[in-house]
Amino acid sequence: MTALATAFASTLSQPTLAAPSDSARTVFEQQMGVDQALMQRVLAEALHSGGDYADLYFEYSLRHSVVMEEGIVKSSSVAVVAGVGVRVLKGEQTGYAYSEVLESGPMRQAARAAAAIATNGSVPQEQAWRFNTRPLSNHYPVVQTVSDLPLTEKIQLIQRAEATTKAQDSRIVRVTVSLVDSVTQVQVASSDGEFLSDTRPMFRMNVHCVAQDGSNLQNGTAGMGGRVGQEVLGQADHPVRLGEQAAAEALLLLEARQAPSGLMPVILGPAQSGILLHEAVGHPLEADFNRKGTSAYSGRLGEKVAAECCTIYDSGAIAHDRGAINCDDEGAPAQENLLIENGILRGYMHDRISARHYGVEASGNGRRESYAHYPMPRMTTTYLANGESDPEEILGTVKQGVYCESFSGGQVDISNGDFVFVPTVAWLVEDGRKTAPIKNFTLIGNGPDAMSKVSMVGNDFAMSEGIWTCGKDGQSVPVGVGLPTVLISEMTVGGMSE
Amino acid sequence: MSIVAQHKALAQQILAEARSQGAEQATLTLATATAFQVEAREATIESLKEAGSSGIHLVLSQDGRRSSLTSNDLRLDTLRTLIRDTLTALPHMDHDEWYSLPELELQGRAPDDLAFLDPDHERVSSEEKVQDTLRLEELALAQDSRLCIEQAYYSDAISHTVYADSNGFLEGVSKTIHSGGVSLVVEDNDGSGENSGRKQTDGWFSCARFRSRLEPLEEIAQVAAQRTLRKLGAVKPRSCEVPVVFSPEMARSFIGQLSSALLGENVFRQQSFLSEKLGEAIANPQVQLRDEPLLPGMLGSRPYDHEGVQSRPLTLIEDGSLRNFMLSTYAANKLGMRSTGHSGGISNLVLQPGEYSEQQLIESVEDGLYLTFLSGQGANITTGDYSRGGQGIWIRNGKLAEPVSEFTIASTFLEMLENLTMLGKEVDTRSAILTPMFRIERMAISGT
Repeated sequence: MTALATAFASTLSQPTLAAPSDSARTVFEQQMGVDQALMQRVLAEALHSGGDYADLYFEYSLRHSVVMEEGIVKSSSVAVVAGVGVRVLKGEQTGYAYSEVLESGPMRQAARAAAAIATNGSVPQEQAWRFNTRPLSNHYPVVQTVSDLPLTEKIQLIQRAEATTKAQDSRIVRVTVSLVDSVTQVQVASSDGEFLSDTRPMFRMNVHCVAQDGSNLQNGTAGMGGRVGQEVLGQADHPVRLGEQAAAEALLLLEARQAPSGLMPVILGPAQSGILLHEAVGHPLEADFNRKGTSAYSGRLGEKVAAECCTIYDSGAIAHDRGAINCDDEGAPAQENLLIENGILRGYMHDRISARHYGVEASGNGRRESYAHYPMPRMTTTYLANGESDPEEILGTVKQGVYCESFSGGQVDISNGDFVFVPTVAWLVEDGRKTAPIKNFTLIGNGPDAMSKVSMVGNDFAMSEGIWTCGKDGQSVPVGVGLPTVLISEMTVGGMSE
Repeated sequence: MSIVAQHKALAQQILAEARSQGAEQATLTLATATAFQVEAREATIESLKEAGSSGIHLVLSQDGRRSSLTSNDLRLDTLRTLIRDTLTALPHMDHDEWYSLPELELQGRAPDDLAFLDPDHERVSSEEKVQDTLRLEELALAQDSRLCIEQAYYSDAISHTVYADSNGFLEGVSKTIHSGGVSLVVEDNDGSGENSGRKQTDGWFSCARFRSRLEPLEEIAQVAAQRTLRKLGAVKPRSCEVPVVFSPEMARSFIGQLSSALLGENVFRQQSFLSEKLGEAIANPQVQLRDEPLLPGMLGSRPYDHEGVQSRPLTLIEDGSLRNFMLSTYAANKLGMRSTGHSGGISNLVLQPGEYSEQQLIESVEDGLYLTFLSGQGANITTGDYSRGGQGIWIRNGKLAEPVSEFTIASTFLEMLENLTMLGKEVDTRSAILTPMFRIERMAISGT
């Protein structure tokens, strides 16, 4: 147990908080003294017992939040996360350790711990090489981050959202508004000599309200965000927009009736319904599950796994999206990956280990929650390409079914393919028209089965606003989803009315 | 000097720094942990992870205004700057008349020995843990030739946490935790094409503060295999209304969600369907629910809550009636009550067991569901509505019949509590929610 001792002993030197405008290199090299020679020493230490690859993942993140609730600005917070993860690979085996102190001693100690995965052979201790600094496309150029905004201006934004929400109706009894911004500096250095860095801004504004009518209480939420800067705040009156949207949702739900139950056609509205892809297709196509043969899609490359009208991508390169990354967390540049083309399975999402296993190029999907975690194949932004049908025409084909507009989340069982997703705003569809709003239900389907029942795809593609966080094996990462209007000819709707 | 003593010294130093910069009140949590984890697959170590982590959380307040900081960078220079930034933000916060530190007389450490720390924790070598993990995989696969491995794992951790505040509270706790388990996968391909590629996974794990209390590897392996194989050939059930027997894990999931509705934070925010029901009958008279913080060796035990309020047992539901909410100081101030020592939520939530064995609960059902898995976010504690994805085994004439999946179950929390009629006698201790299985008379199943 040395973590505290080393941390405490090192309280003397080194400057303090990084500014949002600093580059990753400035932060790690100039402010923290992590130069190339030190990184090489740590990598050499990591490989000393015979690993065949090692990498270092440096992270420094500064996050601010401010919350308004019950009509007052209730609290603000600042959080610093700093550390370096040391990974050693030996074939498909991973040794992992990390240090929260970016100094030679603790970093080399972490390297020795990670090296324990390999126990034979040895590599010369002090190999010298030059890092190949790889320039990256910037998918989220930002002049001024939201983190640079003075606290007083952030407070004005949340006050405006709060007042708007409340003003919508006297039945809105509670409003909570939060604004969270962060800048995360990431730097990856590998024993292959690769050296990459990425400065990742993130912004998120959320409104939650409760509407009350007698004993009927309903929630309404709205959120937006992404890897954006202050410019986004000038593009629309977001506080007003979100306030109106959250209030409208809660008020609509006051009027909603219990959802039906049983098998019926389900129309998924544009944008947020992309959660269907995330659960039904996305997770099962993460290559670790396929490499291990535990996914319902294992060994099915080239086979038909969805209806012909489905072409699905995952891309970390969508400008300013919440799921965007310039490089993944093991240094592979983000790119657009075709997963399913006209219903045929074309590819998986890879991390370094699975890419090597399948003999393909890294796909830019090796992601991790933080320096304390080793990377796994993860989605970035997953979306279904536009189709040809007019959304009204899709609605017109349904005699009796449901239409879902927004969701609180979903979940999938990778192995058997069963997934659920949970609508928040939805309507009954009767004779081609949306009629009564409905509440309290879950949609359940089976991945390959549900995707084979996609019978119409609309021409109204939209990306969901940046609000989604994906969890896998206890690690959370920000992601995006997008989708045009889609008709699933038959799906189980789990409501309570007959 | 013990680690907790070192933490206490650092905590005092940081509080002094905050005070010298002008903070009126402060609360501080300082924690460090060292964790070890090995994952194995196909007789090979898949990953090995060992690392120490640390973190501090400091809330500064002045005149009812508050602002907080969190950092895993414990260098005093960094903390000094963060404290300065936090104090700079304070005047921009609004005065919150309900915010206060706990009443002094409620603060303190329960004297009980809660058996947190395994004295043998450091004595077990990494090599032995790795060998156990490989052995667990071997034992599990030996149960049935159809089984494949998803992963076997072992993990343990030791943590040291100190809580201090400007009231003068200063206490620390060291804890260990050990866990091991295995998840298996089996092909479930009926050859018809429709189920092409479909597989079933399940597994089992054991978890305890003391390594010696982990279940034997043979037992973990057997249970994991049995649970995985029983999912083979799952079909989609018909839509109907039937009795549902909740497995111990699903009972835990339900009681865990119910506990959110009993938390003061959700009650004063009118985000709980129980907000207005104190004193009322909300459940079948057999239902007894308590929060028990002082059970030795249990995972949720604690001598004081997250703001130093001394832990005491609390009755939540007695003979089906709602008796108390779980309150932090802030929630108590809002509701005009006193803290119950529940800053940070539940400690050990105990649903009092009944008299029935698993066998008897299953035999009690003529046509219904044994529920073994739930998914999705469809439990709404504001409205009390409940609709979730499920997996399980159908019960016919008192016997487990075919496995079922791809369906939803729906009801409301209040109807479920009212219809909770039979309680099992065995309690699953692998989490802070200590609950037996139970039978709910009627829920809506939506399938075909």
